[in-house]
Amino acid sequence: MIYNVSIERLELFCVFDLKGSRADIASRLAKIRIVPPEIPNTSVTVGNVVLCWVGQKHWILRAPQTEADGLALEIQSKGKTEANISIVEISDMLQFFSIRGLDATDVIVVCCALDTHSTTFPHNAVSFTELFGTRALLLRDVLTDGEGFQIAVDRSYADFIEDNLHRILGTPLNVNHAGSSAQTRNLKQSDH
Amino acid sequence: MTKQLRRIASGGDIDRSKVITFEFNGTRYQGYYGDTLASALLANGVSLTARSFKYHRPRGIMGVGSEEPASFVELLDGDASSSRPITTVLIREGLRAKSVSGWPSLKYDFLSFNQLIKKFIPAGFYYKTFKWPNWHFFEPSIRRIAGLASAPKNAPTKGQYESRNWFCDVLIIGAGPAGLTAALSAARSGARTVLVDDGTHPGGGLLNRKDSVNDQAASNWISNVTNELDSLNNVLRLQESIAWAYREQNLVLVTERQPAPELLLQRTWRIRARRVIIASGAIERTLVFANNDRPGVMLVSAVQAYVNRYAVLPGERAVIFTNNDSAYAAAADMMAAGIEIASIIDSRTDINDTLRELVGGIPILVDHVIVSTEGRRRVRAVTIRSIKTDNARAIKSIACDLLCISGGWNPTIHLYSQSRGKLRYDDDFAAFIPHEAVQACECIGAAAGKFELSNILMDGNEAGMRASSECGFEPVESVAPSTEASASYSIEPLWQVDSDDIGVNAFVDVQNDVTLNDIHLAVREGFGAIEHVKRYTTGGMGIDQGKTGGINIVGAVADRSKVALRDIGTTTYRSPFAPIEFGAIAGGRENSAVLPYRHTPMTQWNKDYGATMYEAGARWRRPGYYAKSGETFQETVNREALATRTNLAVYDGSPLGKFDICGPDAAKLIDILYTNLFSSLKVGMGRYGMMLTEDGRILDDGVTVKLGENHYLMSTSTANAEVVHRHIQHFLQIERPKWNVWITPITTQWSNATVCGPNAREFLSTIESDIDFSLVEFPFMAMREGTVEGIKARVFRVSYTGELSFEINVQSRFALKLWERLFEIGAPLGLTPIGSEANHVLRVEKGFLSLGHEVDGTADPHDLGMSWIMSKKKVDYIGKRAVEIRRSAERPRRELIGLLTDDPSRLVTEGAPLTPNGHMEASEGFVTASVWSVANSRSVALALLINGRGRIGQTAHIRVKDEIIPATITEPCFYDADSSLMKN
Repeated sequence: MIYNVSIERLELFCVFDLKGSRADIASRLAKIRIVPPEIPNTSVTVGNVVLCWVGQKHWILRAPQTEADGLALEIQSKGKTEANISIVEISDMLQFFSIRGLDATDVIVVCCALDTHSTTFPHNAVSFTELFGTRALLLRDVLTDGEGFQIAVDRSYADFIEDNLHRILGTPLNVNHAGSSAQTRNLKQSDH
Repeated sequence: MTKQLRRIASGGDIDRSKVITFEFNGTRYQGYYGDTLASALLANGVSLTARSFKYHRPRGIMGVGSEEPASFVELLDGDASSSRPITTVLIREGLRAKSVSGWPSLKYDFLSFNQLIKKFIPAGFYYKTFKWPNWHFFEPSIRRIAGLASAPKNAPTKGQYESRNWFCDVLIIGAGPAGLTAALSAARSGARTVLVDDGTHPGGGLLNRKDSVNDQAASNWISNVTNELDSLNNVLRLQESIAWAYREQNLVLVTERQPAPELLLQRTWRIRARRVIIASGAIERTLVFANNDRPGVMLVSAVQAYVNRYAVLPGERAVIFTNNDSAYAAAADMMAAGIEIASIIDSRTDINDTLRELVGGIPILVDHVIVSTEGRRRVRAVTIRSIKTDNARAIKSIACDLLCISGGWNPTIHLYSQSRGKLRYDDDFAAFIPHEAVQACECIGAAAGKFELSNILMDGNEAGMRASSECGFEPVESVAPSTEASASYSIEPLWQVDSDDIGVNAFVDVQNDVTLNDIHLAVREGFGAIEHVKRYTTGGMGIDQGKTGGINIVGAVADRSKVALRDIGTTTYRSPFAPIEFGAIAGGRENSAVLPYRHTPMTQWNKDYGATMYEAGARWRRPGYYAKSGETFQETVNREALATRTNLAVYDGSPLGKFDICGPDAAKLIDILYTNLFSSLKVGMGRYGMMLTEDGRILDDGVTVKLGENHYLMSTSTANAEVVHRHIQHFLQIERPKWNVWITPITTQWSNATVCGPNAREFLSTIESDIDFSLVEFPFMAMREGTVEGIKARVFRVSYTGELSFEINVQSRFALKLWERLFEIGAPLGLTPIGSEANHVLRVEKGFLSLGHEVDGTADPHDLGMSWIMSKKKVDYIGKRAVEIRRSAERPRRELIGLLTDDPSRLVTEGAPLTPNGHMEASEGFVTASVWSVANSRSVALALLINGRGRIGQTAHIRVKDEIIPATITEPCFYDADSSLMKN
């Protein structure tokens, strides 16, 4: 391997996409005792729950899948939609990967055009960015005290991202797009 | 194997303990670790290393770096790469290289006969010849003759390329004296500093001379500086790395040729800097006189570098021809190394005493010029004359085997120019120098037109402090390094030496064989603008990009057209600054990783089942069809379509775009996005809608369902999901910023299996579910929530196939489980997976539109027979006005119709034009889709035809290659016209 890292496709998290002002979000999340971060593109962590501020009125809430039902009960309103806030479960949309090890930064700078230097992307930084041409969420890996990274991509791109990550390491996967040997489309009369 | 006859016994920056054996043109040689191919060949006494591009004249080595204009090589075996300047290839054990031209050999090149016919093949002759029968008849031969190498046939067997992103406060390009000083002062302030240099060692021009800095040998000073830089953790130093492109917003591309990890071939850095300091030095230029291209004619600075740095004597007896001061120090070094200097020919009148003392003992002829050289495969004499005499004939011949020429120095302003910085012509320097920067960059040192070492060092120190200060760092005040070197620089430009035979063999661009005559011809023929001269003559268009001769071309144009150089200007410098391998540009994007691809949870199942996968828009991979053994393509598609029409089928509809829309203004938003009314929807019901752009073109179509009060689920086409999202966000943020509505993409939160066919309901009643699938409880366009096989599901009764259909949506984590369970139950009942090919057949039979087919960017809903979808109740919706205005002109429009070919077995090409009576004239429409209809057992087609609806029953004519196919115009629906089967 070219770099000293471990790359892991993480288990499904419970993820909610929240939209609303900071005040409205804070009010809703007060039940689970999370105070939204003060600085844009940063996160707060309470226990296993992480709240990321990723847009002007856009938040991502992540927790272990085991806490999904309880969390939904606490934060989602039942039935009636509210004027000032939107809470949509997107657990199945995001596939998280961890990139951990001495050379984690070397891998990230290949994937991603964001400046991840510690002065501009500190331990609690989080941002949507671009990874290999696809939209991705990037944050520091809290499990390694910021020496690793986690990325989250739309699950449909997960295989592509894994393909690319392995290429960076010099261990490319054998990906066959075509499926079974493709037949050429034949418009001749004899075919019907 | 030849011996290194021209190697000086000691000295140089080579490692004599490591002897390296390499091969050039089939002959083995030896050199030392640290040698380039050029220095090693010169050490072995090799002077003939190339044949020129057009005339196949004998050529040797002229330069020492990437400015080399004459000799290029092709590397073989594991190093395979083409057209490398010979001066930039480091030798390694076993290296095999060959010159890019010369057949069967350099010594006896068959194509050297081109020199005999050179009068007939001047610049631009390509444009005036090769017209009959056509250019392509001659092209292969000309390409073979042209002196460039072929691309390697095989990819490297080991290693890969990489591309990475980097950011810094200060980027310094060039690790010569100016760059090193700038890097040190920037780094000491704490700024994130990157120093890039393309040499094998830092030091720039200091490596080639014998200067001292801070009272020590320059080499010691360089070591001290680089050691300090390497000790700072805010510094990244890249050696053997070429900065080759300067893009917008201070993005500089740098390729590292020998990155540390062994498995990496090359690494490209995309560096975004807050400040860029260009310390790229200057390049010496040639002089223009007859036969100035013979082997043995070299740049003065190159000879100095070979002597000092590589311990090589490129010749035994040299003549130096110059118009500026810089050649004298080089002459002194050459003399000290043992080269006999026969004479210094200086075109100027006055030479100061310091220079004379520097080269004490060497005859200096002022007011003289070299008019020509003699020799074939090596220079053996030069002919000179006085400028002052009226007799223009040569008056003297001097024997030599080495001619060193210096026409002055050009600041290396290529990257600066790429940054769109403005240049100005400086009379004192007789060169174009940086004038006004556009981006946050500056040029320093020789790149800015400074020549004295003390000035260069001070310049670098101040620039580093300035740059770090501009980035918000407190600069550490420091004194610039000092030096005793006091080389002055003055020049009197000499753009050409006039003589009787100058025109034909006086080369202004050595690599592309462009002569002074060619420049004069271009000006005569009206191509006097410098960009035209460049393209007409190809001067400056070679691999070297005219680094050593470009300004001579400007001078020649100025002289011929009697315009000042400053008014001629330079051509636009373009990246790359030096040749870069395509692999280094692509980085890791190869094979499956070239473009993104998207999978559903069922993708692997589909592949395992034998699906042929297609790219289905927005990078999704979807099954095209599932061929069974022995089936033709058409048989497969027919089988799948028939299964849907007569029994039971399923397809993976997961990629369809989906958006959760909620908020008090959600209904208002949906009403304005779609042409038809949605706010009247009941909870649990959906409606098919069409979306237009502001200019009235069809943007997308899909079904939107009301989930609750102020809560909707919008579906879009697969390919257009992101386009629709942007369209909605643009509208909300620009047109209605005060509306209270939220949009969340949820395309991959839900995956779906769409069960369709006349037995769909019966099948679903056999699976475990708390949803009532009966017609009464589950009407067409309804949505029901519940569980299917124990999995929470949303089921939609929509149809794209024209059959009874149920789209079962589950959270993606359960999608594969559901899919497999459906097959477990359904396979014995004949459940058939279908792909996009069968879907295409089914929707064409039904006359359903498809983006990219009937929706071709010109048709509006009225054209497609969908006037019913253009609400007359709504006051406004996006695109309404544009459609009305366009149609108010009442011009004939293409309308959607069906076509039945007279020969029922005849399929036609999608896209084929329809013309009046089949004549070869302007088309009146085109075929949008053509399929074999399983429902009708014949071919059917859809088309857009001028006034089509008014011509139903008439005959249209389809033009395909060599044939006209008549077809009857029909309604655009070939199955279940009243949709009773679909709505069941």
